[in-house]
Amino acid sequence: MSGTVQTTALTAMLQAEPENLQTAIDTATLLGTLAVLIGAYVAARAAAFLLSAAAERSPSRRITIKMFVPVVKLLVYGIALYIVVVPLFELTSAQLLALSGLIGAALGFGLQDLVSALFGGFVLVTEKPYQVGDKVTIDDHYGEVTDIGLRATTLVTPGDTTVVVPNDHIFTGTVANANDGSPKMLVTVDLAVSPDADTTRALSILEDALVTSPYVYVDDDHPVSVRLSDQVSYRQVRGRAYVSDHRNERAFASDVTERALAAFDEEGIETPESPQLHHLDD
Amino acid sequence: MTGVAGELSPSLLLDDVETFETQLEKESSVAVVGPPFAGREAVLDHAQSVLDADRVQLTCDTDVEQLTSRLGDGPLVVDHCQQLYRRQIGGFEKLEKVLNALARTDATVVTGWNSYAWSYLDAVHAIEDTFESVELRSLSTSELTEFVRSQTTARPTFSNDQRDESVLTSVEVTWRDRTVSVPALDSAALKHRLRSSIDPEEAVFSRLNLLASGNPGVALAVYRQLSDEEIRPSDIELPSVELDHESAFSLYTILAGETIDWRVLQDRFGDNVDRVLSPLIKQGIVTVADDETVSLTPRGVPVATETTERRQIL
Repeated sequence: MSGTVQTTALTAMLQAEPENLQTAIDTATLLGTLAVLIGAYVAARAAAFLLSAAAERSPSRRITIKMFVPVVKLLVYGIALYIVVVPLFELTSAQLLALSGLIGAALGFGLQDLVSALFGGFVLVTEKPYQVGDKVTIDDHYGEVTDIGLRATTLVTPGDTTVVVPNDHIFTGTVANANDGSPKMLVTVDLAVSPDADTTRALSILEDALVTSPYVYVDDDHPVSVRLSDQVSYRQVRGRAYVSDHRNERAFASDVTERALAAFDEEGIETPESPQLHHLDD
Repeated sequence: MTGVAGELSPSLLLDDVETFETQLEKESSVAVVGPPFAGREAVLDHAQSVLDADRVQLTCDTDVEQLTSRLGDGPLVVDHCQQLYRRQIGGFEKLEKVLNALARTDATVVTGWNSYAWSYLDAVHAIEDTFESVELRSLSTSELTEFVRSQTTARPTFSNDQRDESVLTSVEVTWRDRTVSVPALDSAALKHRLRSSIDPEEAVFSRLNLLASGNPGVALAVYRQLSDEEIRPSDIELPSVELDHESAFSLYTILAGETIDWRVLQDRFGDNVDRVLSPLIKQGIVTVADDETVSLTPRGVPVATETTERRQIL
């Protein structure tokens, strides 16, 4: 069926008036197209830069502002595409049909990955499974989303490694979003104590360490919790609390762990020899 | 901590004094909550007078056993209750003892709390459940103007700012080590142009109230530092400070405690305390007394509030 449509479109293109076709692809049009594309690229980069800079000046509204970056980019490139196709090339409906046929053929010859990624970018912008500024795990890569482009999403890991993930992962992969558009984020801190330790006191110390951290955020919707679980060779005290800014996730976990372990040591609460556990994504 | 209690009347600071007095008669535990320098002492003075109560001022060295033993002896007014906790592991023991003692007594106890400490303790210890709380209100510009005039003798002249007519300016925008200059509107110039018809005195007090957020103690302190001869709206300004999270948290700790022993800060921030406090002392945001108590200055309140709210420090 699609083959028939493509053939019909190509036939229509060939049957189009030669003057119109020549007008559509003369040097001036090509230069105009190039100028529009470069202009769109510069405009999209400038808009992204200004929005990101504005977002960084306001920690509490950072993610909200950055949410507009991919939307603005999509808008700019969409307008550029419209300018190229309609006013510059002045394509007739038959030529538009032919062009779509050619695009269809190109897809068949190996650009499907690119187009799939572009569609993935469109889905990311409209469905928002994550936004610029969120902490996400995509294909085992954990980090902060710093850019959602039309083709790919860029993450920066806690180790400052930049990871570029094609947007078509949204159709097949799994995405774990730790904060879902909010700067606040739940962080879990696990500590181990010996089986004969005073676990009541250990839980109390951990709770104090959580609520006295400089990074903590507590209200009715963001409660602090501690709990005890029995493991094979030790007992685990687990604390959970929100940080006001997810960028402080590791600083919070480190601060709580350091002060809680110091208090354990001071009060004679023994910890096993095994390394302490710290889960950020539980 | 210097206050303005003597000069402020409870009717100015509370929405309804009669309701407050009724609460004093009916409730056994009342909390008067307000920011530093906002006149909390004046309301507690009034409560003390109405109840004919004893008065206790808490410090970081207060013996909590002595305090709890007095709770059943009749009406009591206790100020600076934010001194009952320290933001560190084991730092809530005094507070818990007092809350337990309050639960056992029928005598009326009126307590004074710093509003930032109150918000924190309510979030992590739900202290609002123990007390009937009364919050100080913010003064309007006209109330603040009247109060400041009543407290100062100098009568300076007020003038509009002499500003460049252009409302366009440029700002440096930096992100990822890149800086560009982009055109922007000069909000001050724009406001000046829009408000050029406003009386300069009105503009000064309007700006003063905006900065002080209706806090009379802060407004008076800022005003007193201005010239006795001529004042322009742009003279009402605060020191600009850029603090990292640790320094911002130390400032928040002082904001919530109002007066803190240096040793307490050292326990919390370790050897970094000098480095953390140094810029705050230089800017006049905090002061250190001879007895090594660190206090927030009235001018430091808006700076501390803006800094900690921007960083969402609880």
